[in-house]
Amino acid sequence: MAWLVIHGAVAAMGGMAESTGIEVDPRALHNIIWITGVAGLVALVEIRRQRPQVLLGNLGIPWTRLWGASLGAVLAAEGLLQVTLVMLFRG
Amino acid sequence: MADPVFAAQSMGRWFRRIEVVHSASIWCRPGQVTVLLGRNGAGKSTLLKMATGWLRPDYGVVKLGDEAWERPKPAELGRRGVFYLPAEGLLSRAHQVRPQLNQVARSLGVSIERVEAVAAQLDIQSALDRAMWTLSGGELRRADVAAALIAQPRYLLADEPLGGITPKDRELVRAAIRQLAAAGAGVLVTGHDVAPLMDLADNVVWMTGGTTHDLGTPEAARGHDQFRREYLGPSVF
Repeated sequence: MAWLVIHGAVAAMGGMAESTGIEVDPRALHNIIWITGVAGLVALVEIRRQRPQVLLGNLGIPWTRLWGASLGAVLAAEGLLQVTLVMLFRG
Repeated sequence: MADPVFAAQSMGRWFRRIEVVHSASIWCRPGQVTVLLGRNGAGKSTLLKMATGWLRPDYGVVKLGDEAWERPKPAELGRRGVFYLPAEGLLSRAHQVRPQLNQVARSLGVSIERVEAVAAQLDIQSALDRAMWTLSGGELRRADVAAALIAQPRYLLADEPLGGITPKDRELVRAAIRQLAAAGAGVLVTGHDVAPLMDLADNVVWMTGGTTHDLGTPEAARGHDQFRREYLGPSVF
């Protein structure tokens, strides 16, 4: 499933890049998505490890809200990194 | 008007085909300390997690005054003054103690001076600015208890607050729990240090075979034949 998603994303990004006239080596694109994806996952695991979710619950702060914000921030950073790397590796 | 009783009633939970908790009930009565005793694996921690919304019960209800939840959310209970101290630790091991305790104080509108006062009470001043990984098990546990004391909750459910700490430090934690109850909080604690816990208790609940038995006062519990035979053993009292 993860493989399908990642390769779907590669194809979509390759298609988008081509449609805008940017030529990107497909293997470089594949590596970019893998590397940023793993980095994002590590960041999420670290956030989950560092945030004392029970303490937040005790303070009346819903963990899901912070988790959603963290997920959004990590995905946004990941997307930004991907775009930057694509621009660096474009043909 | 006095605070209502916080109660988790007739709670049950299956893990695969095993019903680890069935028809178990616990409560926090304002101004009292209830001690939940039971063997390892009896279901005490599971019951506390369900009561505080960290584990979804298969059946049962959590009540606070006129409100009742079949699936309570931790933050909802937190806003109503319910504070849960898990056995596996409360504060993040990735940060120092002081910033986390300051955060508790700020979030609840409590004076930062209270952090210092509570740290002195629990003898953890020297631990406040050290990395968490350098703290001993006893210091970590007292730092967790400090967070509860700073929050001054209406209800405290503490899973093994005396676990892994020296007798001297255990007395500090016991005094802190007693102080919370004296201030009107309803407290429920679990653990395996029978004598110190029985001395602390106003009420004893025994959990065995996945369900709970209200044994009443510590004196009544000591006189309960089955409890003595199956849990305390002959050499305790």
